[in-house]
Amino acid sequence: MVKKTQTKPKVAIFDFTDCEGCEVVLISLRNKLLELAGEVEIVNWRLVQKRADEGPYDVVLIEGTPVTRREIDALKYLREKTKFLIGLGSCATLGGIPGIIDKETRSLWYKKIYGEEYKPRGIDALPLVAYVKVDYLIHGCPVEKKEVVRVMEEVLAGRFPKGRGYSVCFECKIAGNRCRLLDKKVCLGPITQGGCGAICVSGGSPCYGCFGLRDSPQIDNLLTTLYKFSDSEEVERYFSMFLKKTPEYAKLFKKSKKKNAKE
Amino acid sequence: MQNYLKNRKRKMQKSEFITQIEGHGSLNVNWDKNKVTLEVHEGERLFEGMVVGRQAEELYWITPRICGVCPIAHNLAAIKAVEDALDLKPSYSTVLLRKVLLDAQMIQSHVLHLYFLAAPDYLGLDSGLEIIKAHPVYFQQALELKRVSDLITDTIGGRGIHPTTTAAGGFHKVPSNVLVFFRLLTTRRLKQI
Repeated sequence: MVKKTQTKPKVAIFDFTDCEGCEVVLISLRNKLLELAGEVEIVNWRLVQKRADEGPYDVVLIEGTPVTRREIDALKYLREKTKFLIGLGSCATLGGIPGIIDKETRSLWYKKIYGEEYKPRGIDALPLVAYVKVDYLIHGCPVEKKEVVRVMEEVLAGRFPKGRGYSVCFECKIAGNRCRLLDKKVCLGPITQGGCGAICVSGGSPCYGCFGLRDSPQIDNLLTTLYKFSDSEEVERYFSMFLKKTPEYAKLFKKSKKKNAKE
Repeated sequence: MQNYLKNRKRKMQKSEFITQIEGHGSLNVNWDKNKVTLEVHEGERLFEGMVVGRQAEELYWITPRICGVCPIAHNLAAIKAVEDALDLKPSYSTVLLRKVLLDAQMIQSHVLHLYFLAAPDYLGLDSGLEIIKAHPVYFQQALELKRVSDLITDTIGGRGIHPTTTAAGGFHKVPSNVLVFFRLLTTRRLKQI
C-alpha cells in the first residue's frame, strides 16, 4: 500500500525474460496511461525512457519470468528497495509460457537450438513468488487493460487491491458465449479467476487459465466433468499452457506420472 | 539535431549502451581495441522446445508470445505453417482479413517504435511520454494512429496483443456486420494527420 504523501509516489517498471506484451498493453492505455503517469513519478522504465533510478521505489511492476542468475539477483534487490511489488502478466505471476519448459529438459534444448558450444544463461523459468514475497499479482497473458487501471488506481489511493472473487464463467455468461463444456470442449474457465471478460472464449479460443486459479477453485469437480469426454493427457496439456509451474499442477499431474511409471 | 548529437555523444562514451528496444541486450564498446560486441542479457525461452509434442492449434497460440510488439506476425506465420502441413486452403476473404490484420499490426508496431522508442532520442528527450509536453502535435498523431490500429486489430483479431479469433483454415469468428457498424458509429474518423 502506498501512503499518501506530498511527493508523488515513485513507480518503476521492470521486465525480465518475456515478450513485453504487457508493457505494450500499458502503452495501449493511451490517454489513461498519461493520466496515471501524471499522478506518479516514473523513475525507471527501460522500454520507453532513459531515466533509470536505482531506488528506493514506492511501487514496482515486474513483467516476465526471472530465468537468469542476473534476473533473479535483480528481483531480490528490487524486493528490498520496494514498498509495494506487483507482478505484471502471467510470466511473472504464474511462470506462464516460459514455464512450459521443465528445468530438466533445458540442457537438451540449449544444445539442439544453440549448438554444443553454447553457454546457457538460464536456470529455470519460475514465477516471482518462487524467489520473493510479492504484494499483488496482476494476471493475464497479456494483462487486461481494465484490470491494470483498477489495480493501479487502488494502489495509488492507498488501498490494498483485491482479486476477483468469481470465475471466468461469470463474465463468459455476460458476454453471451455458449458454454464450451456443453460442446465437449476442455475449458479451464470454471477454476480461473475472472477479470479478463472471457476475451479468449469470446474470440473462439480455449481458456487456458492465464488469470490464475480463483479462490477455492474446486479443481476436482471440474476434472470429474472433463473426464466424461476427455482424457488426462488432453487435460494436462491445457493445464500445462500457463499453470505448469504452479503447486496445483505438480499435485495433479506429477503424482500420476510416477504412478504410471511404477505400473 | 544538436540535442540529438549531444545525446548520442554522451551515450557513445559509455562502454555499455543501447537505445530503447524490445528485448534485453547491450552494445559493449571497447574503445582501446576498437571493437563492439552485442551482448544479450535475457534468458532463453526455448520456444522450439515448447511446441514439440503439442497439438497444431496450440502452436499458433504459443508463438505470438515470442514478441508482444509484433504478436500477429508470429501468429499468422504459425497458422501458415500449420495450413501448409495439413494442406488447408484458406478462403479469399480469410486471406484478405488476415492481410488487414497484419497491416494494422504493422502500423501499431511502427508507431510504438517511432514515437515511443526512437523519437525521444532524436528529439533529445528522456522518455516517450515527455513528447506530450515538448511536441503535443506529434503526440496526438501517435495516439490517433495507435487508436485506429488498435481498433482494427481488436475488431478482427479479438485482441490486439495475442489474437484470439485467428485459426488454421480460417477464423474462429469473423467480425459481424453489426459489430463493424457499431464500431464505426461509436468512433470518430481518423483525424487528418
